[in-house]
Amino acid sequence: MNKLGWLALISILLALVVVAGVSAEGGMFFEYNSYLPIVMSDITETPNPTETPTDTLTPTEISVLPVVGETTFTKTFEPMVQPPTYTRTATLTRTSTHTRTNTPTRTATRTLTPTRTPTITRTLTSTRTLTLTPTLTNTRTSTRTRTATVTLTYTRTRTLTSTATHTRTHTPTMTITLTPAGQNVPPLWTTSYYVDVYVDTTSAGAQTQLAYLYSEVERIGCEIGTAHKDTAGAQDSLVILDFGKPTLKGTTDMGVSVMYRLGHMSLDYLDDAVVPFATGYVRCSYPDTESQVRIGIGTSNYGDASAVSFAHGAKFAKKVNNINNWFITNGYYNRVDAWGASDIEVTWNTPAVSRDWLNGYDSENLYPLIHFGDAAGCPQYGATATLCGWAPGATVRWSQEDIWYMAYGARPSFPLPEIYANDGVNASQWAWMSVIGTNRHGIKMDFLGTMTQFQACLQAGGCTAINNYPDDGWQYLYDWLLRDARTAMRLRFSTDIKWLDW
Amino acid sequence: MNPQSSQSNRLVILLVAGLALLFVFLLPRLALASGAFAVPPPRTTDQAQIDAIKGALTSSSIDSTARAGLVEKLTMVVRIATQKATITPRYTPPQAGAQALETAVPFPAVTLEPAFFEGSEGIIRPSMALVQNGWEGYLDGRPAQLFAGVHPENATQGMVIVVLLSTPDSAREMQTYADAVQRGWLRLVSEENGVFELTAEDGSVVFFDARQRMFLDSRP
Repeated sequence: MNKLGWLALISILLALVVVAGVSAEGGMFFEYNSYLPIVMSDITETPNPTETPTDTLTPTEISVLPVVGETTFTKTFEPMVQPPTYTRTATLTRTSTHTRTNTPTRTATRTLTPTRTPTITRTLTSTRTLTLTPTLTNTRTSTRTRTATVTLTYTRTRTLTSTATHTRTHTPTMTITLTPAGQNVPPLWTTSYYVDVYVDTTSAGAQTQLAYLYSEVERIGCEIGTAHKDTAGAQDSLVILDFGKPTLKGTTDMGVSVMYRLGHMSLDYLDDAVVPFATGYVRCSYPDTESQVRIGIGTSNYGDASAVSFAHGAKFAKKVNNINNWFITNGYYNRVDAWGASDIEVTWNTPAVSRDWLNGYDSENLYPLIHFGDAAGCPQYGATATLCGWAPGATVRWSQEDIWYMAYGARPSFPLPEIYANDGVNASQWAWMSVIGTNRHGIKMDFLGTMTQFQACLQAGGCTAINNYPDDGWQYLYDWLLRDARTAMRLRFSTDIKWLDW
Repeated sequence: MNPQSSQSNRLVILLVAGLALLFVFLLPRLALASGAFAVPPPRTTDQAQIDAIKGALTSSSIDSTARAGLVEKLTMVVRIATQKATITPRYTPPQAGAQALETAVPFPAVTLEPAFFEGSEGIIRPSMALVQNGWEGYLDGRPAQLFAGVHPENATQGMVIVVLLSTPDSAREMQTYADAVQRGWLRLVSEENGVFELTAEDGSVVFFDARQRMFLDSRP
């Protein structure tokens, strides 16, 4: 073989070695592209010169709104989701208890055959002696035989009464195992908490109150860690710790409080209040070192503008940054991270005040903000209205655009909507908001998942028609989003809130 | 074509094929090893979200507001994924006898200043009741709160919510009571010995005995 031949042979061998190596690593090269980190310079921002922000839909926008049920609509867009494929294995265990009470009623007539006909032979022997005077003896013996035939017929009647009462009790137990091969299977839901421990960091008893708060937060972190340890596989969960409304003492001491009107935990203590959750989680999940939990450090938009302020939002964001720094420095970050979170309710404040707080958060944040609020009064799927509910005393209603902005349009925000209503109306509202957002801004809303309040309703003695089970709330939103191929998506998290101090 | 020429052609074809394979498989790996490309981080649970945002950013119909939001979101989630991928876990399992924080921390006593107040103070969520106003104080010595308002889905159904707060000896209780008469929202006016006077949206007056947990037509 000449030089050229050797060169070719070596090249082929090298190539074969490379191919074998790639195969042994499970196709690493082919997945490589999805691992590439984003280089921000690759992202070019192209402002849309025709954009005219408005709170009402233009006739053109309305004309392109999809109509539910129109076949032409679904053909317009490329499907963005895989068809639902998952395996559902159902095992039905049925336990049955039977109680049987018998009172029998039975009628029987019995005729005996053959008829018995006995023959009776009776022999009479009599001797009669007569003595007469003069003496004359006359003895006469006579024998008389008489034969009689008797026919006997027997009839026997017996009456029995029988009444049967059957009681059957079934206690079926159905175990359904879902294999999460598809997108339409709810994830394991977690419990989120209103952290309603009374704290007033301006009071004399603050240290005792804080100690109790830290211990409670550590306890629930441990509970979730234990649950993850006891569940097969690596878990991926989201837990909201809702510390309540923004508060303000004096002119600069910003804080939070749940459940107590005069409560006030200064934001200076927020780090110390969240870290025990992580330590409890990691400690109790051991030896599970793969599962993860994301904490949403929650507040709300309740309060006047002095408390729900730009400054409060900015400081809140700094505290979230600090908490993540602690996780990173202390080696917890691969298991636990923290995002900001806010329960932004339509009836709790005006859009302007709520937006001011959000802008403050956006001015300092390094981590996203989870919007776990409502869309009260917003139009349901297919409606042409664009306005939502009122804040008390407000002169301007919330618009669908306001809520879209707070929940997703703003730079830090990701939505985790409250899907409380048992008839699915909340899911309908949010799904429609995503459709309108797609029409108006060109992107669907990227929902993190859903929040329900099933457990809080149990604690409160029941709710009327607003206590979806977590899986049902998740399914409602998933199904409503699936109505439009442009908004359909997998929902990563499902969480259900309750009060901590109960 | 003579046999020697045919053999040379085959060798050339093989050479070209070998070089092609080298370009396809080997060079990218060499580039990776040399650092010409960034080393890919391990796949994280946030990867799907990163992919989704990257996909959204390729849309030509996206407006500037949404694009600005997406760019920052992408920056954050990529940073988070990278931080998670590069961190060195330092946690060591607890030693025998190590104690958690949760042991033996006493429940702190709550001190309230009895008063009426506007709104729910963020205590009652709008999904449970649209609260007009509330009261905070003590019922039979126990810290308590009362809220009056209307059902969020039925504007004629007045409601009262009673909350007995946690104490060192007892857990919190919370219960909702619906006005038997559909007269709109209710509002707390005054309190005397645990009996609250309320006005309704239709102007009528009703009482609520917080101890007996029942509505009354008149003050007992």
